[in-house]
Amino acid sequence: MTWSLARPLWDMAGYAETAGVQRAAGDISPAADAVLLARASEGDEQAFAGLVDRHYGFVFRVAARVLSEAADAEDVTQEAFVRLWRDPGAIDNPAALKGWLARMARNLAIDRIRRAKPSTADGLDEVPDGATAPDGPMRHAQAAGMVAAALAQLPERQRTALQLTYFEGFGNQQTAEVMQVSVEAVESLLSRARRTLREILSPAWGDLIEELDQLK
Amino acid sequence: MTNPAPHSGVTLSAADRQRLDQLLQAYGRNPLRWPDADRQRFAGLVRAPHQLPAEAAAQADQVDRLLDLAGAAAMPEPSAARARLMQRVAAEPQLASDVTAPPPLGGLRGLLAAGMLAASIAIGAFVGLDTSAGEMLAGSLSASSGTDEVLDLVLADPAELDEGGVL
Repeated sequence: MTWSLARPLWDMAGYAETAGVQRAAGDISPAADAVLLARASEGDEQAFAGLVDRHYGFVFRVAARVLSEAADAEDVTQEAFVRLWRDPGAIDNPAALKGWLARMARNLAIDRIRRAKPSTADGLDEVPDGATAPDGPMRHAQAAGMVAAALAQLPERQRTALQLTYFEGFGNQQTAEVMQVSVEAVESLLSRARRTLREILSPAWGDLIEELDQLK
Repeated sequence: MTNPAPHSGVTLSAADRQRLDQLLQAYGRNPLRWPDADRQRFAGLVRAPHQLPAEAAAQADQVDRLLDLAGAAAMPEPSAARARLMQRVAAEPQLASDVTAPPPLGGLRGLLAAGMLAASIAIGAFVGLDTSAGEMLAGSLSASSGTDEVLDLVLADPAELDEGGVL
């Protein structure tokens, strides 16, 4: 079977119905993943497109949180999915697919950073410089950009732990499996991430909180 | 040492307060983001969040709101990125597809194989029907009448069954 651009990537209702899986908008049930994975392992590109549709955004966000360029994040996301396509049998338990993809994307992103900057490979956890306070009243977009920039300066492991637990809703056990660390280490990374964020933003902290209060 | 929390009936020990500080520092102000076990442990506080340690809760809330602000400004996905991925997938072989199927039998070899298969089936059927296998087949055919009786019971009107004393 060949995949056609003319058919929407998300048009997977047929596969879901075949397996008795309800195809609701935003359905992220492992049962649907199981059906699509089984079909993909038989070379079905449409089924694989369904997996891409369901998980691409998540994998891209994980990669983007590690890397600073969208093009790099796209490359890493693409590579993670291509590896899944080459060997869908690598996923023993369909419920673990999301974690597998996150782990793959994170490892590929770290490899990319290390290849690009071998001299700073050990500096992924270095504490970055502080933020500077803006002049005059802060606007919403400016505040959001400042916090996003501060997040980007967090050490990689702290950033990934925050991304998975706070932004993606992973449990600490699931995050620990993706990051291949203990649950206690995840909790420690999260605490340090939030503390480091406060430190980075401390010069502008008062203005940021004032901006948040105006948004209420 | 324990401190009863007013209005909620929640009593917090020193260990509870220490753990609450850890939770606020790691997971933030919203108990829905806490690990399941801690959420259950502090279920009373989940229903009465105003009982949380005030200063730690306020700091956690500020960081939460800043994170929410940054999350809304996340890096956008490049346009057509998914289509580019699927184009690459279409050109990538799968590991399983590397296994090639054996070529089909043809000509004289194919005829010979088909003849041997047909002969083995015929011999097997003859021997089987003539011996115990034949008796087993006959037994299963007669058992179908028993199956019919079970079906009758299942499909029968429950009132009839009651009258008949089956139930």
